[in-house]
Formats: sequence, structure tokens, C-alpha cells
Amino acid sequence: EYEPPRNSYNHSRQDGFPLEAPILSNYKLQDSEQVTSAKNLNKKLVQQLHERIAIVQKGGGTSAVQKHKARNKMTARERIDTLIDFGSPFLELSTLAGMYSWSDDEFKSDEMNWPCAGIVTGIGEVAGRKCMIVANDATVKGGTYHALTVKKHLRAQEIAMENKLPCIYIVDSGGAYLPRQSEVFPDKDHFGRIFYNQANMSAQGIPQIALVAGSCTAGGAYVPAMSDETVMVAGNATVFLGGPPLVKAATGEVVTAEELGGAEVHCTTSGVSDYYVEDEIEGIATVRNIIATLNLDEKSKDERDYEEPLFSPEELGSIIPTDPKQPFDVRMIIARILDGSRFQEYKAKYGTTIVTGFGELYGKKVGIIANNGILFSESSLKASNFVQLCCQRGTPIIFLQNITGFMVGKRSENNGLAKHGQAMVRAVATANVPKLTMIIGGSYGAGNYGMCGRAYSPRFLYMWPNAKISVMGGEQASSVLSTIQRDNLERMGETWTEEQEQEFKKPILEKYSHESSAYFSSARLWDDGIINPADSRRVLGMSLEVAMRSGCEPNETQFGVFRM
Amino acid sequence: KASMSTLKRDKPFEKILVANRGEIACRIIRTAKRLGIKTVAIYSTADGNSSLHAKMADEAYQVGHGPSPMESYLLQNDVLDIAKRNGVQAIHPGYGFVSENSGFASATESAGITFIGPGPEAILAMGSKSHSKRLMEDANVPTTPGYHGLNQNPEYLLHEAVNIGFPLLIKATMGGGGKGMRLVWKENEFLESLESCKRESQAAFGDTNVILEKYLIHPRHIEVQIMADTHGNAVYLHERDCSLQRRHQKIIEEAPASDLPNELRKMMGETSIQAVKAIDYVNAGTIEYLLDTQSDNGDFYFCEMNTRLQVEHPVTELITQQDLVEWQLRIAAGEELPIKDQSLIPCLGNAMEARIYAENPMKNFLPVTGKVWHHKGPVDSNLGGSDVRVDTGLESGRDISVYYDPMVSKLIVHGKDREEARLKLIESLSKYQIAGVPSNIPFLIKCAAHPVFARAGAINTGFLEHYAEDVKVDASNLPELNAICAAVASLRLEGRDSTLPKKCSPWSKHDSWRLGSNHERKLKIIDDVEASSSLAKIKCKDGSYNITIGDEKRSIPIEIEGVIESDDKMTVTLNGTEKRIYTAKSIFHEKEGYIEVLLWSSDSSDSTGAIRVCFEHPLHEKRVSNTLHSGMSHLNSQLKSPMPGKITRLNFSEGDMVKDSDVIIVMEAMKMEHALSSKMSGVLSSLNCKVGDIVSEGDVLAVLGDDDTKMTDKAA
Repeated sequence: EYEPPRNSYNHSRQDGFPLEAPILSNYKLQDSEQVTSAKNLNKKLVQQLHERIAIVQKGGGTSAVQKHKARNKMTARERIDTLIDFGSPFLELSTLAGMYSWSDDEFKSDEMNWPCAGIVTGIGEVAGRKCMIVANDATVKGGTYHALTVKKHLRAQEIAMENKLPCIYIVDSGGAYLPRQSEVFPDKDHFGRIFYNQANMSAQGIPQIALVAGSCTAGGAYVPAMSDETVMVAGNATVFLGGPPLVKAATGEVVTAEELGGAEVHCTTSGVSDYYVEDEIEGIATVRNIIATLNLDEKSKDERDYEEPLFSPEELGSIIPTDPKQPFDVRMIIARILDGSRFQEYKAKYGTTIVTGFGELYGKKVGIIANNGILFSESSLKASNFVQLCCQRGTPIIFLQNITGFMVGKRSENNGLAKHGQAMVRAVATANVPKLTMIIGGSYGAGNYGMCGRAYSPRFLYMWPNAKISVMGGEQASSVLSTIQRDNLERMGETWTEEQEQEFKKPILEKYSHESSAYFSSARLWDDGIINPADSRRVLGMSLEVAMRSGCEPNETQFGVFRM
Repeated sequence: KASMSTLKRDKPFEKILVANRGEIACRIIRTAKRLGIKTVAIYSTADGNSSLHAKMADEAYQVGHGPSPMESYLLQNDVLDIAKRNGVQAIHPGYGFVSENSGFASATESAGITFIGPGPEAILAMGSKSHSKRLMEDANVPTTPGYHGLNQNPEYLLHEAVNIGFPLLIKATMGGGGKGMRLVWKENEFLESLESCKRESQAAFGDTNVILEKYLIHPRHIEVQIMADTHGNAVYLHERDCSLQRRHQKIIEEAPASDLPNELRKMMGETSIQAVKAIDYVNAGTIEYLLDTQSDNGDFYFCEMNTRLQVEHPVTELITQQDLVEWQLRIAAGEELPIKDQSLIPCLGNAMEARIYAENPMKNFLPVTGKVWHHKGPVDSNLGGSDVRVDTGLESGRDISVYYDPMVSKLIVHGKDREEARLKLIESLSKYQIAGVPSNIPFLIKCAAHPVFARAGAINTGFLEHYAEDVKVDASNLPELNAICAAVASLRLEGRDSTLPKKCSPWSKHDSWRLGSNHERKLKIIDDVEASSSLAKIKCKDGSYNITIGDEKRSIPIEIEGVIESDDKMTVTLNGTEKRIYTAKSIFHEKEGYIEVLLWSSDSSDSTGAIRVCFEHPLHEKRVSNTLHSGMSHLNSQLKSPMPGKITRLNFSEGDMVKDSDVIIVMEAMKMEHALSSKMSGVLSSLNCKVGDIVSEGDVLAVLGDDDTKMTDKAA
């Protein structure tokens, strides 16, 4: 039984006026068939999500893990669990990246099944400071980098850079995945970008720390070399640009890995590494000490009193109807995310298909923009207005995305929908305040843009397991395509039966259904992870606190030229 | 000295030196202060001037230049020098160290300083077992029956043996170390044992002469406290029973001896006075007797006399309401005994004393050294007190040093009868807080709570032989206690005081949140006896801990909520219902890599005493095992020349044992001396240079090898 502990709420807070916004009290979940079926579906989806997470978290499988441990190594996750503070949460990112086997038949080959894309990334607290941790999983293809490994590594660095998080690299990698070097090596956002980012973050004063716990070959050798401080574990760690086989091939010199680039060599002779440790535990303790001595104190934790929501966040998954065509009130969601379910709604009676307003999340002020139907001109203008308010005040924005698109049709277009959509897209694109996006339902077409899709650089973007993402819905796409096809056929004087049309639509529908799944998206790093709806408040709260490390200065946004 | 008796009654001396350390030095200084006497303390380098006794005294001086007793407290001339230089009138030797050294006593007197204790002759006489026994026999004090004669005819010896009674001991006159000794239980075994004893003695010592001595089975150890002044007065302050012993180490002492007929007590007392008078003894002394428990005759035999204040003197003080140190000071100053009439010596209620040691009852009472992070008795220390009293020389934060016996303190209680005293002892022991080193308190509680100990007069020196299993301290705490300790350790690791849900940032909930589930943290319980497979698995949900205690076979889940307040008071709710209050302490032993947690129940009916559980520190476990087992790295084993230079000195040779940080080689380079020290302990397996060698940078000058004896050293 959920009981919000309201009694401890301190109304005479020291930090300014308390938020006395109206309580969304009329959004109790009613017993109904719709709710029951939504609840059941959500239960199934969450169970599936957790099963899949559990599977990929096993890394390269039992025998690979056994072999790994026999070398006196911890797994990537064990290293992280030991590194972060006792009891610290770990906000793992893109756990399901590289997970093709369920979502993509054509890539169902072993080669393309890289649990967690062979790298574990996420944010945890180390010595009281939030850090981005990037840990190679050597049980997956020797920790080598293929396209998605690189993408995931770069995304972690991007998050670190945007949110000013010190980076800890736990290196145990064979470097680039040679069979697919063309997907890994040459492009702008390929392997080289990792070191580019390290150099530039270091230049911005964002610490770069490496713990070398295994091999670190070729390009990989630059991770420790480019780091501000580097720790090497005796026995297991090696750092070299060319490994013994390459050296032999190139010069004929026969040398062991240890002699070429072991911890002793680099800590006593070459100076590539700064700390020599006997084992991983000592290495982890050393990294913790490095973080503790950065002279980079976490901003005072700024912990304020807050109310739990009036309704349990556990109910979040039971709200969205199983039939996406059935409407529901997005305030049901907002009431289960914001502190005390208090919501200062802005323009409640105008442009009602979008809900905007202010609230608090774990005591921190946020603006909410949530879809409550398709976007009309008015709703776009309302949202654009609200983004301006938030930027003026330095208030972060949370987008609750569930959008089929903008209202089409003659009236809309003639009314200037594209112009009004432009305003929203421009406002969102240029908004300088932290933006967080959570896709709770559909994410289609230009709606995705206006509601801060991936291309609009939200600091974090999460999806619910039921979420769908594609340029348009499968039905619309197949109708559009079949209409074109029918027109073509009829132009050539041919006829097209109803059956033939269905036959034509079927693969399109299947393809769209397949490619719009949250797993398809997450596998490709179009988001930062699929989360259990019940965790939304927690995940958004943690992400918000990270995001607020930068960009909350009021009135800093330059919006450019609005077309009016 | 007669003139000194005219001194003011309340101040026997102006200034005294206390030639001791620890609790007894503090004890003596306390009385001296009360009487307005200035005190001079001495301290070794190990104790230092911040040790409690040095701080309590008006003046304190370092004695000698080393930490060990031989280099400090036993340096008689240095002690006397300090006394002379600082104008003290008398020296109190306490117990141990120079207290029973007749040479010191006479040197003190020769220096014109009063020795607070008996004369040197009495010390010398009582110091020799055989001499004291003869003196006592002459004074008609019963000694252990035996035959020490020259007639070695087996039949005659048998005749003597029958006179002495069985069981008896046949001892080779020249024997020692257990060789040439036979315990004979029955008459018909005597001749055979005699023959084998003689054979062994002939082979071992080339002599077949034997003596016979009565063997007392599990006697009681009863001792009488006497006091005698220089005016010929002597009284006894009743007796103490110190029968509860472990390998001749007294554990719990009490006064008066329980269940002893009044006539017998009187007889022992009067016999003691007889003995004291026979040797013109002055000041405090204790005559130890063995009381035969096998006969109902109340036969007791002189064992030895201690010519000093005893460790266990406080139990006598509590039943007589006298300050024995004051008596000693007054006697030494030439005053008459404060109470000269034997019948006026009070004997009120019962008192017990438990000696608290830093030793590990789970590891065969191995003495422990190290820092006592926290020391808090049931009452404030060193205040005297007539109900519960703690005498100690130790404060929180001080070390138990390897150089002295590991006594932490003495806990003394008084009750109107023996049972009240015993229950008070158990309660006080349960409240006693020591953290940082293990103590024998759990063992003391088990002894005091044992039904045989509870029975008056039932304790004899065989108690611990008979009931060893009953009082054995094992590590198996109740699972919920382990779980509470795990919660304390977890709170410490998390750097907070409370498991209660606190409104805080989602980052600060300490719940190990992960996608999908909360991470289960594991803390390994370190068992003192053997490597433990026990784990505390900790999950956190909504502010409370869900802790599972156990190993692969059996585990018990317990839910815990708790708050630790600033005064270490911890309120715990178990499984949402059961509320308990503890005092909780946690200490991170950084070097050893574990967290020690101690709990003391604040429920007075809970007499389990301190719960002590140690957990491996998750970030230090491996390093501990590394230094212990896996030897060293190649890096630490080599000593390389840091720059070109000339070898100027070698402090060790090949094959020598070296300790971590020992300077092995000294070289000269760039007009500077550079000392090359070892980075580990081990054997210097090779030395590749000699004095005068010019070496280059990076030359391996010495190599250290693994020290195979290290583990055995540790075990010893």
C-alpha cells in the first residue's frame, strides 16, 4: 500500500517560497478494464525488459567470465560496483545497446550480438563525486570496439562533457574490432573521437582518469596515455601501440607483453602511467583516492525537503491504454512524477493537446512539456512560449513525449502549421537549459523534433518499453505507399485488388512495427536506455541532478529568428 | 623513625615517587593526591609522558631510554636518581618491576629514601621458596607435607609416602622441567613409579635421589592480607579467594572467601599473623595458602608470601572499607596501624574483581596489542568507589604495548552478599566497552555466570579444567546480532548515521539502486577462529536494510532500521517490530583492512556483553591477503641504484633478515648520501656490491627473497 509520507513536509523552508502549486488530486487510478489490461501489459513488458537486461549483464557468457576471472580479474560490473561508493546508485546508460538478437533478425548472427556493446557506461558516485564510468567488458569479444562500442563510448563522453562529469575509464580492451575496421576507424564519430574528447574535456577541466586493468593495445593505448592520471595493475595491464606480434612482424624483435608495456615498465621507465598497483582492488582504491584529491568538490548537495507524489510512481505503467488510439490524460503521469503531485499549469485552457507547467522533482524546480494529443498550431505556440519562460528563468525542462505528429490538412497548413511547428522546433533546439526527454508512448515525425528527440540533444533520453519511434506510424506509411502504388498502377491502366493491396502493405507494416520498437532504438543508441515506467521519477530525478551541473543560468538562450 | 610518627596524621609524606606504570601507578597516585602528597611518576619511552599515570602525577620523568622494562622501569639506579634529584621522601614500588627486589629496597634506604614496603631482609627471605618454607615451618605455619630426607631406601620412602598420604608427587632432587616427576595416586603404584622415576632421573641427571610431596587435587587458592607496622602491631584484613585461575593466572578474585567456616578463616588469619611476627615483617603482605578441597578437615598449607601490594587488593578494600595504599604510606612513615585491634577490622558484604585483558579468548587467549580506540567502563575510571570501581592506566586512543602485560583494567564490584556482587559483576562486565582490541570480557561473563561459580565455595583451581567447554567463547553470534553489526558497518562505509528514510537527493539514498533492481552489497564476516564463509548481504529498500546473514548452506534474512546518535546510541528495529537499543562503535582498521563493529546492549537483563564482529573492508580485503600470502612483487624485491655513485656502507650481509624500511645500502652521489631501504620484509638473498664500488643508474644492488619464516613468526 502506497503512503506518501506527507507529514514531514516542511512548509517553512529556508530556500525561498514553498511551492504551493495546486495538487493534481483528481488523478487517482480508477479500477477499470482498461487499467487492468494496461497493468497486465506493462507487467509483461517490464518483466521482458528485466529479463533482457539480466541477460546482457552477464556479458560474454559463463565460460568467458570464468576465463576472465581465472586471470585474477573482476568483471566490468564488479569493478564498477567496487569503485563507486558503498550504497551509491549507478545510473547505467544504454544497457541494451548492441542487443540485436531479439530485435533484428538480419543481425542475429553471433558476430553482431555484443551484449551491452562490450562496454558498460554509467554514472555513479566515487568518493562523493558523480563520475562518468566507462568500463570495457573483456568477456565480450575481448573488449574490442565495433561501431556501437565506439558509439556508446562517445555517447558516455558526450554526457560527461555536457554535464561536466569527471571520467573514469576502466580499460581492458583489445582495441578496434579488426574485421569491421571500416565501421570503427575512419569517420568523425569513430575511434579517434574518443581521444579527441579526452583531450578537449581535459582542456575544459573535466578530469580524465584511467585504470588499466587489462590489455590496452594500439589505439586503445591512447586512453591511458591521454588521461590526466593513469593507474596500472601489475601482471594484467599492458599498454602498447604495437603488441608483440606486430613488433615481431615489423622489426623482428621478440619481446613479451610485460617487457613491452607492463605496469612496471610504464610506472618506472616510460612514465606513461602514474600509479603502480598490485591488484585491481588496490587500483580501484587508488582511483578513488585520485578522485578524492581532484580539488573539485561536488557543489553542496543542495538537498531540500520535498513531498513524495500523492500517487505511487509504481502506477506509471498502468496508465497508458493498451490501444494507443484510446486517449488518456497525461496529467495522470505528471501526478506520479512531480513532488507532492503539485503542478503549476501554464495556459491550461489554451492549446490543450499539450500540457505545460512548473513543478518540482526531488526539490528542484522543473518545467514540464507533455503531449496530450496531436499538435496543433496553438499547442505549438504554447509550447514555444513555455520553452522561452524556462530559458528566461534557467529552469530545466522535462519532455514527456507521446506524439503521433502535427495535425495535417488544408486548414492547418494554410493556417501556417509549418510556421508554428517551426517556432516549437526552434525554441527547443536552441534552448540552453538542461533538457530531459522521456518517450512514454509514440514518437512520430516532426512531433519527435518538437518534443526534443535525439537530434535536439536532450541531456538524457529514456524510453518506456511500450514506446514506439518512427518517422510515421506503420499504418500511415503503408497507406501512403499503397496510395502511391495504386496511383502508379492505375496510371498504367492496371487494377489492384483489395487482397493485392493488403499483400503490398503487410511487409511494410511488419517492417515499421519491427523498426519502431524501443529495443530496436535502444540497440542502436537512439536513446540512453529503456526504463521501467515505475522508475521514471527516480531516473528523471537522478538525471536532472546530473544535468543541473551546467546550463541553469537564467536568460542565456539565443533563440535566433522566429518566423512569425 | 620514631620521630616520624609525630608527623601530621593526614600527610605521611610530602612527596613520593611511584616506581611503576599502568593502573597500579594511577591507584597509588590517587591515594597520594587525596592525602595531599606530591607525586613523581616515571615513564618509559613506550608509555611516554602522555600516559595516564604520568599525567596524573604532579611531576613525571622518563626513566631510561628504551621501551622495554629492562631499559626503563627496571633500571634501579635511574629510578633512584630521579627520586634523589627531585627530593622525594619515599618510593612506592607498586607490584611487579622493582617491588620485590631486596637490592632495590636496600639501595633506596641507603639513599635516605623510605621504601614503602617491607625491609630488604623480609623481601629476600620470602623471595626464596625453600627458605621461606623453612621459616614458616619454624613458625608453626603448616606447609605442604613431604619428605626431603637423605634416606632413599624404597621401603622407607614408601613408609614416608603412606604418612604423607596419596596422591603424592615423587620429584627427582635434581629434576626440573617436568622431568623426573611422577604423580602417584595409590599406594600399590608407589614402588613401581619410584623405580621408573629414579631410572629417568639417573639417565637425565646422573642422580637418583628423590623427594616426596603431597599432591593437592584442585585445591582452593586462599590468601590472607596482612598489615604490620614498625611498632609491633599486625592485623589481617581477611582473606581473598583467587581459585578461579587459568594457567596460574588469576581471573576473578573475591573477598571474603565464600563458604569458609569462621573458625577456619580465623585460624588462617591468626596463622598469618604468627608468620608475620616470626619474621618481623612490616607493611603490606599477602600469605598464599592452598586449601585442600579433598578432605573436610580444612587443611591448608603455606604456599608463598608476596611482600607487596597485590593486584587484587581492591576486593579487600571494598569489604574492609580501608585504603590499603594509605595504610602502606602511614606504616612506611612510621605511624601505627590505622586499626590495631583485629576485632575492629570490618568485613562487610562481598567483593569481586575481574581482570580485564586485551587478549583473544577465541584464539587461546593470545595477548593482543594495538590501539584501544574506545575504552569506557560501567563507571568512570580511577575514582575509587565502594560499589562499582574501575582501576585502569589506560585511556581511549592509547596503545596496548607489546612491552607490558596486556591488562586493560580491573573491574571491582561490591554487594551486600556474594550473589549480589556476582550479578553486579556480570552486569558491569556487560556494560564494559572496549573497542579496537578484543578482550576477555565475554569469557569473564561466562565464568561469572556459570552455575558452579554461582555456588558459594564451589570454585577451586580445577574449575577451568572441568568446565572449559561451558565457558568457551565462540564466534557464533546470533544471526540478528551479526545483521545489526553489518548494518553498523554498512552505515560506516556509507558515511552516515541512519537507515531511516531521509528526504534527500535520489543520489543520496544509499540504496545501491540499479536498473531493474537494487544491487546487493556483500560484506564478508571475518571469523577469529577460522576463515569464515559467512556473508552479510545487504539490500536497501525504502530506508531500511534487508540483510541476509549466512553462508551457502544456510542464510537468514533480517530487516533492520536503525539510527546511530552522536553518543553512539543506536536504536534498532528488527523486522519492523522488535525494538532494541545498543551502544554501537565501528572502527576501520586501515592497515589490516577490516572494520570492527562492537555492540553493547543497553538492556540490563542482557548479559551477553559486547558483540564484536569484524568485516572485511570491500576495498582492502585483497591487499591484506596479498601482504600475508602472496609474497611480493618483483618491484619491491629489487634494490636498484637510483643514480650513478659510490657505495659507502652496507648494513646487512647476504642471508640476513631485513624488515620493511630497513636501510640496506648507503651510497654517495653528487656529494650527497643516499640511503637505499628495503620495501618489504624478507631475506637478503643477494648483495651485488661491496663498499667502494662505483655503480651505475639502474644497477640491481640487492635482491630480497620471500621470508619463509614470516608466517611461523606470526603464529608464534
